[in-house]
Amino acid sequence: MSPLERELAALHKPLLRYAKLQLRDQAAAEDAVSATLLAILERPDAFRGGSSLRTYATGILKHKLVDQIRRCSREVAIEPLDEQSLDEALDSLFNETGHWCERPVAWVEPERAVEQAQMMKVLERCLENMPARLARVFMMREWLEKETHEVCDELGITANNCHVMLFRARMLLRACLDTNWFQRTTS
Amino acid sequence: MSTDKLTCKQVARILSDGLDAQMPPAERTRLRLHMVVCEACRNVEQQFDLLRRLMRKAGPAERDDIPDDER
Repeated sequence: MSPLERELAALHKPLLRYAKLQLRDQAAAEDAVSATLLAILERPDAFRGGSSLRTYATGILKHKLVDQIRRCSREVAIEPLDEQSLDEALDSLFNETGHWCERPVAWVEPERAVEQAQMMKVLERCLENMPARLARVFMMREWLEKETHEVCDELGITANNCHVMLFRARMLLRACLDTNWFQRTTS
Repeated sequence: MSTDKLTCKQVARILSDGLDAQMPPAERTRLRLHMVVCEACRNVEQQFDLLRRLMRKAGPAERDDIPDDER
């Protein structure tokens, strides 16, 4: 194995984990990661070492994931959203006058959190536990950094539906990080 | 423009929408008014922003071997 191949072998699992987080489909995720690794192996000279191989491979993976979503977003079977229970969960955060039941408090040392690998693991777990449809829309917007209209177009959903899903995703993630990271670090 | 005060529930949705699309000026003014008087919603605004920064930074990294309880 060449040094590049060894490095790619070490990257395989982390890349696959993120591909699965985005696509929520094992086979499609494996395809996207294989396409990524192949692209690098076919043109090893294109990687000039200006960034880490990880960063380079992640950039390619993001493009492959967008391709994959374009090709088969409507084919991948993803569990339907339980809209009612999501709405109820959101509603329960507010009282009848629309104010917070439990007022969100400031997170302690948020800048430090951004730098911590362990924080990223908590974030990944929160994403894993989020309903698949929400996570897919949210990650397209925030991780693949697609414009909202591109997310809507590529997934075939209305702009309003897209905004509602992004809102729900942010509220769920906010609560998940609040519970699993920020309250733990202050207790 | 409506002069009705926004509720925290409405504000949370507007803050989220504001991360995805341009906010109408009238709505922005009502939002700013609410933010001046509501610390909880100011916290949520900062937390949504942090979420965005965390997601931009997220990605495969050399941390598969970090034990779950290591802080």
